[in-house]
Amino acid sequence: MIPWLPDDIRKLFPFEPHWAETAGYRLHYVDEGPRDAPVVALMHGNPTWSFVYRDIIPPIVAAGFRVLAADYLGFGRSDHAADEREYAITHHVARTLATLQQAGVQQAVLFCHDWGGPIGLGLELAQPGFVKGLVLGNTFWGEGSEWHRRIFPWRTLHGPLSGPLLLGRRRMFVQGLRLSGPPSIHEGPAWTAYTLPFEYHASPGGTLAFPRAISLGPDDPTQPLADAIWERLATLDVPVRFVWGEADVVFPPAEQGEALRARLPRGRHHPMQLVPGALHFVQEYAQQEIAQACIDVATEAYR
Amino acid sequence: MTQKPIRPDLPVLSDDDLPDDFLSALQKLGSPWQAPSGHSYRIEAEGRRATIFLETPALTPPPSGDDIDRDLLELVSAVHEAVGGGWSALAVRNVARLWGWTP
Repeated sequence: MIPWLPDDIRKLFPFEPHWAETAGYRLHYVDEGPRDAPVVALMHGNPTWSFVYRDIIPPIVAAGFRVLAADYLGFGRSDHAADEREYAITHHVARTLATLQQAGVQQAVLFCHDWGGPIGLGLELAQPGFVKGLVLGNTFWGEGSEWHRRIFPWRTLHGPLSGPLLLGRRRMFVQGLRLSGPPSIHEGPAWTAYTLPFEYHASPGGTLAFPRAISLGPDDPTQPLADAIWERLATLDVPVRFVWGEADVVFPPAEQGEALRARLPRGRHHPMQLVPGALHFVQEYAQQEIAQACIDVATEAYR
Repeated sequence: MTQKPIRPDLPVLSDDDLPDDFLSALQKLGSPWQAPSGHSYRIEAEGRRATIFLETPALTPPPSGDDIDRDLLELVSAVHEAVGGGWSALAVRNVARLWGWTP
């Protein structure tokens, strides 16, 4: 765990830390707004943490909702594991559910980005009825995109021996924020905030395990979870919005975005909100749009 | 006089899930494997897991982390080349550069 934050990060991320204990780990989460208000939970991806929601949390709270944003094991202010197997996606789901339950949350509207999709939707599998509504942005359900099937650069990045060197020893995944995020986070306190978890622990955390967990076929360990999520999506009749980075090559809107829209019963009730020029880390481009979509879905879900 | 280690070899890289062709290529490098820098690395493999240790002989200061990483890039590139040809080794180096590391 990271017990304190430098002042320049706290200026951008002024939220009081909350801590959950689960399976021997201390996990950090943000918990803002009235405790008896309906809940919006913000699910991050690789390699971000709740910091990515620093400008999205306040407007949702101002609209009357309680907002939680948890840092997975190996990310943000949470503990890191010594054993790579601890980062299996099903373990992330179980620990995130335990974190939210310790906060007294039994159901939530979710915003899901990147791995926040499989983990967030995994909550619905673990506790049916948990998901009251969805806002999806540049995410997926566990199966890789066409981009993930390419040897160069993706499969080389986390490949045999190259993964432990480049993502493990060199802790390079965080550089993806520079490749797929706006210049405003390429330096200064935001960059410090994103690199801090891996500098503090001198560890890549869960950043190597996530790429290796993206399923590319029926033999991959994540495929059963991906199949179960895909099955559940077809009947998940909840309010949905899409806010999607238009220029993302990892999860292009025409591929994962449209597949999810077609699959969800209410996926086509509203047009996909494309964020022009936005790359993969859509939260760093469209704070107001994401916050408003969360407010709209939560208002509809908790009506 | 033969130098004997005065401290245990340092594990510097491991992979728990190596495919057979990568495991075979790694083992064919031979152990200990000597990097172009002159540093020596012992390779251990069991099942699908392989671990690479830096050999640290007596009276020799250990190399820096960056030096070890450069050695490991040579080793990893050699394994990828053995499995996938020169293009694969080049891919490893280019990905490293693309993601911000210029060894």
